[in-house]
Amino acid sequence: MSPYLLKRLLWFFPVMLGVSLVVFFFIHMIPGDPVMVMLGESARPAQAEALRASLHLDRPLYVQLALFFADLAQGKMVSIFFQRPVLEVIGPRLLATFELALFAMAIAVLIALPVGIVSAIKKNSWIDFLSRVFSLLGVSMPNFWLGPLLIILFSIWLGWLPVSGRGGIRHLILPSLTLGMAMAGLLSRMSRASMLEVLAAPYLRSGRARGLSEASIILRHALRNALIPILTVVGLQFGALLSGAFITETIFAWPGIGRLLINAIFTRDFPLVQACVLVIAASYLTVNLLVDLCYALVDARVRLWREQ
Amino acid sequence: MAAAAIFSCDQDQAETLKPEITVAIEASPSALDPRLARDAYSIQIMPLAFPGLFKIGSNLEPEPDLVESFEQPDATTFIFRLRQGVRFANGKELSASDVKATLESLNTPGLNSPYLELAERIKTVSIHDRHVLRIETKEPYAPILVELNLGILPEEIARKKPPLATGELIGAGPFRIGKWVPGSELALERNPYYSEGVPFFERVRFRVIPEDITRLLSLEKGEVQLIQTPIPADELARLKSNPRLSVSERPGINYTYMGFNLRDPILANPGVRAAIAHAIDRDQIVCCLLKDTASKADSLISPRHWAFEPEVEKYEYDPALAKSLLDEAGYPDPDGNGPLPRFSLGYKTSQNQQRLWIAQAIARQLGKVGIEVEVRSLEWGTLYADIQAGNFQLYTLTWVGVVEPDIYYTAFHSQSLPPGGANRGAYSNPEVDTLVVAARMSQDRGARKILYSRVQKILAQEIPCVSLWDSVDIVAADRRLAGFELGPGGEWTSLKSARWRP
Repeated sequence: MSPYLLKRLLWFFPVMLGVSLVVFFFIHMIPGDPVMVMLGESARPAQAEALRASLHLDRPLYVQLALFFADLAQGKMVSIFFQRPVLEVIGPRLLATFELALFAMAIAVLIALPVGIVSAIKKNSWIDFLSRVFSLLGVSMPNFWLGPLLIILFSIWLGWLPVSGRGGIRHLILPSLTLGMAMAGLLSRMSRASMLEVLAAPYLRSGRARGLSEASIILRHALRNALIPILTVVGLQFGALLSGAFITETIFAWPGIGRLLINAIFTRDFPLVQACVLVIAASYLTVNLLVDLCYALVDARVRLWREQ
Repeated sequence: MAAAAIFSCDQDQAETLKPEITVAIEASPSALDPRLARDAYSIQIMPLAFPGLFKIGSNLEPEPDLVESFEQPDATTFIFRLRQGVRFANGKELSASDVKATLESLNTPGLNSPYLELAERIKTVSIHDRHVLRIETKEPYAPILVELNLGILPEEIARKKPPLATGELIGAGPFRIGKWVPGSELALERNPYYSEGVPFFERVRFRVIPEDITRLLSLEKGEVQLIQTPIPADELARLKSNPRLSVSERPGINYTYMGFNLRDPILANPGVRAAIAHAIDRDQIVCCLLKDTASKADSLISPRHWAFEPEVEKYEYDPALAKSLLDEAGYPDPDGNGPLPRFSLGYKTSQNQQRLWIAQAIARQLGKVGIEVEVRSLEWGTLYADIQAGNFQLYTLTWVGVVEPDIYYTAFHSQSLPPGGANRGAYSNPEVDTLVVAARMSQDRGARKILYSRVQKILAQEIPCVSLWDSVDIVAADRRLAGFELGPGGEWTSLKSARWRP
């Protein structure tokens, strides 16, 4: 393992610790007693106290923190609302969110890269104009509007795709498209700007002078160099998708982790909130690490390790 | 070609005869153990898998379910004879020991059952013979039959240490628990040992679809076959005009009210409360904002309830009267029709969009009589915490599934302050205290009706809260679904006898 990779992996621990602490203290600062939310007002005082004790909520905050880390280390955290181990609750939801995020990202990249590249090559042409309109539309259309619109068009009028739920690939298309369109708008603008910058570089003129074909110049030399900022945005956007797809998940009844997290906050399900945030943070860090590793693949100038 | 194949199979699926039915629900049941059913979604689904000794009949009275007959030799003793031949989903026959074990398990440490109060009321549970059970309460307790709708578990399951795994949860209902993805989907499978006729559907799938519009569109597309309230009022006319769907409505038992904090010096004045009640145009709210999916309420219990008292003081919309009541109460308008208010109040409500619109409408109506209202919309946990802590002046909430009139004890007895009770506004009236305790202890329906009638009249005069409206239960279903009737509390129980017409 390269020292760079090792260093990045070691960074996981302090970052996760920081996230755990921030989430722990923030969730305990929110008004609302999880015991009363769970038991309701008809709870007997003794019952409320017993539940409070079983959840360690009657202990000082630092003890609760220590117990939280102990439960976390042993994988013993239990959702207050579902009364099930959090891993059992989160597992299928995380998988669903990954599935949706991957498809949405694939749609965004497949649309945005060609649009951005062609737009940059045909700068100020009608194609460029159209692609800029597309980008603007993509970033301007909110998910809560686009989602129902796609459902009405493709599910109700045309009858091609299911309205909601998670099943096969057909269930994935509309939510992925809803999420992917906004990202495609952003990415195509990024791709265009990045390509324009690279296309103006002197080394491409040299390439043309040496008789390289236009396709080779664009795809092998320009695109590769333009990819680094695009990759950065893809990584950040993918991370955001893991936690920020709440609206799309709600519209399409997609059983993802975003919806689970929001509901857990509403029900003051402390262990579930903490576990969801930790899982999302870990996913975010992993994706960013993978993106950083990809830099070295697309740009020879990037070295992730020193030669001895 | 591939796309055509992908798209066409959905059409085929819609045409398939239904060995299963899919029901869309707004939110997930929190737990599947019947002893832990505390949210509306759990309570509505549980009877399909876990019937209790009693169920709530369409006239909102307890009716025998697992019980064949019962007698009450004295005020605190009940002898129940169980139906014979009832089998759990594992084939074992239901016996008195299962009921005893389920009731005794409510006290299990760590279970945190919302039925704990029932357990505390019971002195002893003894078995007479295999199918006869005797329950003795510590003191006369009229609501016990309603509370014995608690789902019964087999003895060996009930005595296990909680929490139970999903696969361990077995009841004697027409269906048994199948696959459960918490927060997303629950499948109930036909119970092969169910003795009261084989349910038509092999499987009932409950899909959580939180977004109202998506639920409707899923029904229209045929992905789900049945939904119930909440259904957006604006969409109702469109649903009714769809020839593939049938829509039915009937008065519901969910009661929405505006609560007053009687600790507040302004709201402690009964004249102010009466003025507020007269200043709210409930007809306009029901008609324009709720699109007639509710009916104006005058009492906590529904007009179709046996204990309902129609002859109570009513507060019709009358802004002129409201203004004069405020003048009499010592809050004259400081500048006539000018901008200065008589006084200001804070009004807390949830983040539900409809609730917020209604709160804003009420604030405008109160503004017309000179009461300035600041609406604060809070997320549920915070709203609930504030209301329990008495940190409010006005709030709006809904009592869901009002069946047992003993709710008057919970909501208005002076000892029922939260936590432990729901007298959030700190209402106190010794006569009401006496009446609700007497009604709780009386076993005579006629006597209870008289007591609750008096309670309703006093509350209507003293206005510890303003009755706003009763819900209307709306069910929209695929027209091919026959024989389904929503239970009185929104229960899905009649799916056991529903059929699919090809």
